[in-house]
Amino acid sequence: MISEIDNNYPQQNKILRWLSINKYHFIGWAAFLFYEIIVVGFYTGKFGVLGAYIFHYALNISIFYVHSLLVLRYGLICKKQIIWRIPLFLILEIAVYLFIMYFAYAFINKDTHIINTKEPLIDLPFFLGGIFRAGYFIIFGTAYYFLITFIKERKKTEGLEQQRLNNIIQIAKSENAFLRAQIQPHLLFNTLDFIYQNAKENSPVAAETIIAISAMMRYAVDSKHKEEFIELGDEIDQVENLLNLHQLRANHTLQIRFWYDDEVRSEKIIPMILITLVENIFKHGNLTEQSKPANITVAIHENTFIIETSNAYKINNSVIKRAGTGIENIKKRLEYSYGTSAELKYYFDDNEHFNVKITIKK
Amino acid sequence: MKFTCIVIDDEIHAINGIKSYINTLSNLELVKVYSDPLQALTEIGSGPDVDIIFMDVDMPMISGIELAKALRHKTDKLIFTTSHSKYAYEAFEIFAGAFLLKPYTFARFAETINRLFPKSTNLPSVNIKKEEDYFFIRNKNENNNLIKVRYHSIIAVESLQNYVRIYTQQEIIVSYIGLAEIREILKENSNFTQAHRSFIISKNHIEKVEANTLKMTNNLIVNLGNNYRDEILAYIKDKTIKTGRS
Repeated sequence: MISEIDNNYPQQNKILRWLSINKYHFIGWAAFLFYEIIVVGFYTGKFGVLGAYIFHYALNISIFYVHSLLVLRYGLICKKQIIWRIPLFLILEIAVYLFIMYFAYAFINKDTHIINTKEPLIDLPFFLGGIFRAGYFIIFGTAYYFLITFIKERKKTEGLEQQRLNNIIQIAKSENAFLRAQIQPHLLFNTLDFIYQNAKENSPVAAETIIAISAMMRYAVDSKHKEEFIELGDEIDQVENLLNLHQLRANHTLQIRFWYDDEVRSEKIIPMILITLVENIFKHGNLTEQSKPANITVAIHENTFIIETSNAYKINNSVIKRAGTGIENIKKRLEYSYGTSAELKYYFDDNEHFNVKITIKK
Repeated sequence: MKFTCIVIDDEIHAINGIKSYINTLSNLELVKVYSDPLQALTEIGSGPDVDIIFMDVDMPMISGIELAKALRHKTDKLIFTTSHSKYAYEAFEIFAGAFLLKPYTFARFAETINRLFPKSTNLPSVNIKKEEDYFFIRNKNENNNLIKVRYHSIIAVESLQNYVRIYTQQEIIVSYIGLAEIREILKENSNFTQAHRSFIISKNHIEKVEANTLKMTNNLIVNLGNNYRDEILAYIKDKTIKTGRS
């Protein structure tokens, strides 16, 4: 007994689920039937027997689903065969429709009169009326088919787009993870320490360079500079490291000077402004002429914060001609964070030095 | 009196590095080195107290932080030597005296020791007979050979991080020495003054004074730092001829 109930449960659940999945169909048909039977019935003042409604709507709704779910689905399945499949299926479904009608009226209704109290003539108008009614629901069915196909396609493309984005994110993540797995900070700095310890006796310059690059790597690994505002001192240290590294590599021949007073170290600023400018100088600047040193100046004058760089540039430097995709980038970031209170200018002066001047009003 | 030290690190190159640093400083005495943190835990726990424990944070079997908690009472100062900066907060919690981020230089090491034991200063004091009018210094531009520098020929000294660039009337010398040490050498001589945090200049060789800059006799332009400006401007004012006409 109990087991029977248990067995019934899934069955019941299935039906409930089916009803709930298809609830819009029931609501849709209920609205349609209400319109056709009640509204049209009152308008024309004619009502049929219950059997007539049940039979005809069962038949019409069936052709609707047969047409949308079977005829069109299998008729359109292969592009080359559409030309014969669709007409054939159409004729077939209408034929079956007419046959059921004919059968119902000729045999079932004849004795029982459950469909119609009268006995209609089964003649040409009878069949034409059937064809009209069948066509009516076939058109609905067609509309329904294209509607669900359209929705399905849209969902599919949305899904594809979503998946594409997910893929991109996944790839980016995994690349990042890969890089991280490759260079764990722990491994990186322990290795640098190992090289440093081995180099410092025989090649003090190499050892020093390792110290400088370690300091730079540590800054890169640290997450501090990913915040919106940082203390300028942190970036000044990074610039000093960069200068040190380049000087070591160039045997201390580079003509570049970094002017700042210790007071500016505690200033807050968005990151990667100063360091980007200095990197640009190393990339594009000519630092070999003693009479033309590059200058980096950071200062505060009456609540205005100034960063200035000035350097001679490499001749034949094609990059300089489209001066500053990097600088334009800085400009945008300044604008984003400071609005109109920050200003960036760049120009060539009379000494053919390339100058950048950033002012930020506090 | 020497400070007794213990080193705990699982990597041999790191141990060798710190050993050589400790041996270089005359006021430190290395008592024992452990490459096995568990051994360190049992032996130090039952041994005598020491002045400094240098300890790696990232070691096998037991975390350096745990080990530090267990051994903190056995040592006066605790110094973490690590490649991680992420342990900084935990280190402060158990009163680690300092942090040495690997790789670190001897200068950084000595500076840390001096900070923790301020009374026993370690700085290799610069010993120069001041009565001479010159000194010798290694010139990186000439294979680190010693070169004679006469005080009166020095125009300016520029700091290049761990190096300095000395501008003399004859040449430019690059040497592996800090600007602070040069300042020590030159401080007896009133002709030298600091013009900027990265520049020491010779007053004799100032050629021209502009709003915020000095032009030296070799055409070197030096900006005036906020902290040094007043002194220099006062000196120049002192030397300025006043005509009495306004």
